[in-house]
Amino acid sequence: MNLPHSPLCARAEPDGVSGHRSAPAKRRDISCLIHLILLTLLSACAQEKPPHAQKLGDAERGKVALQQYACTGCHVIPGVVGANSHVGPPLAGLAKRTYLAGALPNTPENLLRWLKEPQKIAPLSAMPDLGVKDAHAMDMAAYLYTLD
Amino acid sequence: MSPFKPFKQFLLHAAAALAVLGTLGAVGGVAVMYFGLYNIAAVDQHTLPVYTLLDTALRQAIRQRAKHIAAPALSDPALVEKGFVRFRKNCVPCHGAPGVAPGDAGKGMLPLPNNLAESARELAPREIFWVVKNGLKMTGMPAWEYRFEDEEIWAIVAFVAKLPTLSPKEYRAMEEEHFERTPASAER
Repeated sequence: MNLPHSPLCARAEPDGVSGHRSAPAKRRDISCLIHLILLTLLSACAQEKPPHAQKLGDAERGKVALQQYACTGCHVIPGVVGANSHVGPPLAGLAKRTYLAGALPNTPENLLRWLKEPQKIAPLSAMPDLGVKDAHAMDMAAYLYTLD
Repeated sequence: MSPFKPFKQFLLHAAAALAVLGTLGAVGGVAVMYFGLYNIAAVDQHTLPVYTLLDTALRQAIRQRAKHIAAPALSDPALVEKGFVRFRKNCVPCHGAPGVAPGDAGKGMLPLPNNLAESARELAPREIFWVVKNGLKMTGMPAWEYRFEDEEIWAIVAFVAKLPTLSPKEYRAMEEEHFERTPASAER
């Protein structure tokens, strides 16, 4: 078994020209294989998370930011007490939404854009620019992406 | 031996239990207050039971007190226009308007000042009148009785009642039209 791409397995090369392996080398091969399987499993787990969750902000702070930028005045936001308003669309299931504002593919970049400058994207929308700062938008997005 | 004795005893025990529980509850309530356990910070959400209690009490209080107010006709465009001017100056800073964000003071409040297009759909004109005139304790909503005559408050109500029919674009057009005719310095 030749696995030159894995640094863990760098020493598990055939010991001689004959291609015969010593017993320790075989053990190294096996432990190397186990490592690989574990790594594959780990990366599979990591991929199950929504792809956006990592680089955004703090969801708990986001909940407060959603209140402090008056989002709660117009949207039903699950988990935010008092956000019962139906002026705009409810934000439940936002993580599963295909398009944001009915126009933008639902990616973290687009969500941040929409939170910060909705009027640039949809000038006819009743949603005003609320002066959301970058860090707060990240926190809001982190919370909104927990809604699935 | 009286057949009522066990029942009497039961009543006695029940009364004693209620007294003990009631006292514990009262002591607990006082402790929550005295030790400042309930966070009154505006950045700290109410718990759902507290929010529901306060919100229901508020809605019911408005409904009860506005019950017997008779609203005048509110469709006169001159009245709506008069209301618009006062609305823009005195309401928008906290409540915003169609396509207009509330100001920073409004955004920072808990409870957040309502979106009035929604309030206009949920409350009767007489209820909006009562709220504007009397204000709402602990919400940040001031009373306007000492600033405006009733007739001016009705004008504001007349405009608020129109809000759900206005698009952001139409609201902006109203602003432009009005303030072209009237220089800002003449505003009340």
